[in-house]
Amino acid sequence: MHSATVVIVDAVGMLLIAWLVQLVRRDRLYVGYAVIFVLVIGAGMALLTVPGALAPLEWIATVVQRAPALVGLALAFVVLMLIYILSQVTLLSNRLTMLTQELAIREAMSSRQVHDDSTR
Amino acid sequence: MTATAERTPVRVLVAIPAYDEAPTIEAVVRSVRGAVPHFDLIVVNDGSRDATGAALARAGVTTATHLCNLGYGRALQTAIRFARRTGYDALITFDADGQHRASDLVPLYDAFRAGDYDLLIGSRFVERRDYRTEPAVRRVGMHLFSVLIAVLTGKRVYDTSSGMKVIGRRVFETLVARPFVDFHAEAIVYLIESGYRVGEFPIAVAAREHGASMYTPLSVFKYPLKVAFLIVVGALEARRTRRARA
Repeated sequence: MHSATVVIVDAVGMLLIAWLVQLVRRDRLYVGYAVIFVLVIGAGMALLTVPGALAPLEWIATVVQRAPALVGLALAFVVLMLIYILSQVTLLSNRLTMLTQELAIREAMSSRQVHDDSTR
Repeated sequence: MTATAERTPVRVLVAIPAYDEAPTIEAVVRSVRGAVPHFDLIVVNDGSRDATGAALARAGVTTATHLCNLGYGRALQTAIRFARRTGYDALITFDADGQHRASDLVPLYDAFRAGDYDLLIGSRFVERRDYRTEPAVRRVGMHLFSVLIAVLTGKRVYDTSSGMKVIGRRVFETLVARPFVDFHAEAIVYLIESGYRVGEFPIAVAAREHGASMYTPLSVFKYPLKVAFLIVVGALEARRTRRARA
């Protein structure tokens, strides 16, 4: 692979990782999902950057089928959509968490009131 | 509700997050009540599927019940929200599995007040400063988190996963505003980097006799990655918040 391509792919990878960190920081993406994406992106960047690391994969790809460039684009789209969907799932989960916590706090406040009344 | 260490009346809440802890929870509640009758107590029943709820009803303790399991960090967050809303000065977290000794509560709280801490960790390792007694995998994880925190904050914390901590009112707001997953290493690094006073105080823990640890075989791989990621994000976020405040 051309070194210019590697630089571009690495730069895109770094941007994606920065975006993921930003999403986690803002509580928009659960850290468990982010870790998986960061690991996969990091591994992909390492494979492209380290000379010879991609050779076994290239050999497999050649043997199985030469993937058209469109497949790469489709994969990138799927990854972006996955991040987006998981971020929406995280938002929904956060809202449910807040609701559950609020119900629990209200229960605790009323049960404390009952205990206080019974000990008076 | 006057703490033993001080003349000033303070309101202290002991919070016990519990998930499927029916065999131990009543004894734990009894031991805490016996050791610190002047502190209030809340148990956060984190969606237990066993008889924990019934045991808590028998014990007559203030309970906050999560309708489903939200995890340890969220259970603690519920307790902190409750403490903040009802005007407590400090919150002490205590495990429901019977591993903590209630007799450590008073010395830990006294040290918290004496040192004017914002977070004081009941530490299993601060005296020995090594993890020899722990299983190999956990030893590696604890060492890694401790070193990572030291690298990022310049402060060494030996017990980053202790479930016994005293949390001061000054940090309640901070701890409910951020999405902490487990209130361990990530919260510690965030508070240190935000300029709060964090320390460790030696405590002893007993071996677990009932139930299972919240760390599963899969979490041996997942947990360190997640926490390392959160430590870095937490440190960066704390620095950014500090800069914005300055």
